[in-house]
Amino acid sequence: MALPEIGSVAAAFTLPNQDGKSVSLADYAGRHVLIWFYPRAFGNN
Amino acid sequence: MLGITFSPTDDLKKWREEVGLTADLLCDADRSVALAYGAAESADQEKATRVTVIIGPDGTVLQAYAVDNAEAHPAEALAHIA
Repeated sequence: MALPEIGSVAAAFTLPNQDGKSVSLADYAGRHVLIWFYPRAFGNN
Repeated sequence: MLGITFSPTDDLKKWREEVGLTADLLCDADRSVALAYGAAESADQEKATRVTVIIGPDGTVLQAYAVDNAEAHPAEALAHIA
């Protein structure tokens, strides 16, 4: 699976957070965002 | 800063409190975001691949890494946004 191309427009998304509240990439417009994908909560992450 | 995984939101809440994280942790249950960002090969992949993406204020991708070494990676990523 390919990583996003540098300089391309980041894919929009809306997902529930830990409290069930929807969070969108668009909420961070005008700011830097660091997104990290990780295997799972708990265990040796 | 947003952490994305496939764990259910209840687990994310407990783990966030246990570890003391302040970032929002998001649940990508159907893997659609992971697929779009190269952190999953298929919609039935059990666990997300470690991938970090830095997005600029204009919504474009500034950096994208597949993380091979989880211990060395934070310093590398921080160096790019410093």
